[in-house]
Amino acid sequence: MSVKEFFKGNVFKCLIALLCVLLVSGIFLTVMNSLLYVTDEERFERAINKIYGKSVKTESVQVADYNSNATINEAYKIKDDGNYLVKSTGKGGFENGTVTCWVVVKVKGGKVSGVGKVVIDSNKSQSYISKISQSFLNSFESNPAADFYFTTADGYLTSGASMSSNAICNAVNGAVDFVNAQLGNLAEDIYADFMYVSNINTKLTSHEYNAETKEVVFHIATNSFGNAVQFSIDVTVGENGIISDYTITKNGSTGSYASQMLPSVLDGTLFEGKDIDGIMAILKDGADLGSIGSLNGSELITGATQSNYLCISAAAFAAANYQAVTELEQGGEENE
Amino acid sequence: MNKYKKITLDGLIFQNPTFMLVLGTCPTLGLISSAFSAMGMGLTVLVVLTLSNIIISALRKVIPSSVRIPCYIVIIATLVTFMRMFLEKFLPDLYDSLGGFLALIVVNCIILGRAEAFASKNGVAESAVDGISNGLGFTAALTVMGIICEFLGKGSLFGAQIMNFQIGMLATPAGAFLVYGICIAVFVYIIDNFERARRVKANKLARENLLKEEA
Repeated sequence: MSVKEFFKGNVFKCLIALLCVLLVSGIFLTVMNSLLYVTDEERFERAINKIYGKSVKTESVQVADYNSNATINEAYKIKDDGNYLVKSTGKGGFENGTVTCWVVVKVKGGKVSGVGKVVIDSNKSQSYISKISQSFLNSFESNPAADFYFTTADGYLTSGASMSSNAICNAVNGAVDFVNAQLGNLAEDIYADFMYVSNINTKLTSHEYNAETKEVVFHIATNSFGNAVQFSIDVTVGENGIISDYTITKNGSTGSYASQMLPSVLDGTLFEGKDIDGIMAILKDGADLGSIGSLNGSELITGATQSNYLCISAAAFAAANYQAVTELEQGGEENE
Repeated sequence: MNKYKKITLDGLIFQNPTFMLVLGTCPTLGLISSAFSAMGMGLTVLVVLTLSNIIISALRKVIPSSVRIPCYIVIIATLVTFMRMFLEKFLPDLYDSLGGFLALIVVNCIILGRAEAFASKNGVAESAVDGISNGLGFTAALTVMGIICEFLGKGSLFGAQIMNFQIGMLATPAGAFLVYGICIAVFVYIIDNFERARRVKANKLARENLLKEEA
């Protein structure tokens, strides 16, 4: 085939037709793209408006974490009303997973006045997240907890997704703490520098000191861990840091796990009469409670190892910090 | 019968792409669990189908026969991309609800089918009417099934909760398949009865004319 024949042939016509269609399509799409392109700012505005329910102007706020159970990802101050919009990731979900939520924190008179809309953004490993109901998310606004601190123990949960509910509560609490810190209202955490606090909810934990008997009664609230949600445990520690009484007031074992906990953990006899060294001796090979793996080889490996882990963490927290609490209390008395 | 009336009735009823030709089943089963998504998909297909029919019909004498299918695909893909941009800019909720099915309109057999079977052989006006009628037929079918599935499957209509009674299975693609089958059966039954009645009437008229002539 000669060059002349090629240019007069059907193949050339087909090529030209295809190229023309492609060219016109390309030009058309280029023009349309420049006209209809959605900018990142526009996307952000839409996302914010969708969550907030109306068009608002925002100002980005530097993020920081003030709650060990939550991570703050993004935060914005709403210029129109002074409220905050916080993207917070709550820990303590199913299989140690997380739930990330957008939380509107209402501010009035320089103080947190409530929680507004809560919208789930994403989650990790939460198989039952679809069970989380809108009425549960609405309950943060319609039925606020005291000090706006929400726990599943206070009924902030969706049945069938209690651990995801726990992660959502943590996300909301993290957002509230963040805003409180921004407003300069975050209460000082007296237990922040104590030992063995990684599984302890220091915000919900308190203690009573008896100056006469030198006894300290710890009212401990644990964090959630894996399948175990928050435990409430009262631990009495006598002089020399020896535990004299250990009572679980709220068992955080979910489903049938409670029956698989070690009986001596359930009735507290495993920890009673022991100081911190005695408690650590329960573990093998000088393990330090830094992770659940430190229970390996001990009698605490049962069908409810995660619950046992939280319980021994509470015992260790109480026994190890007896001295710190007495110094704190005596220092307070001297100041008075 | 008027040419345009026939094209319109064919697209809407007698050759309805969803109920009679069973085309475009992928988005049908994927989206009819929500009436809003179903109607949105139908209207998007309507626009793409009408525009592609018009363009392909206008270019039918320019595009060589051996490369017509690649050219049609490029044209349809361009229109679908344009619709994606348009929806993302102006109707972001609908864009989100259609998800991946929006891009899949490119391979929707209704659009390529009408381009090949009708637009490549007819004028621009007829092709535009064909596109609109087929698009409306598709939209109506999807919307009706979307309403049924959403109402029975979620107890809501276009997102507004109406009742608490729900048959959850009907809000899934499996339930949609069931509803689709029942709708086809009902639609075909009605059309069959209509056709039969029309034939009986025509026969009766012919017999009367014959008797008149004999008399």
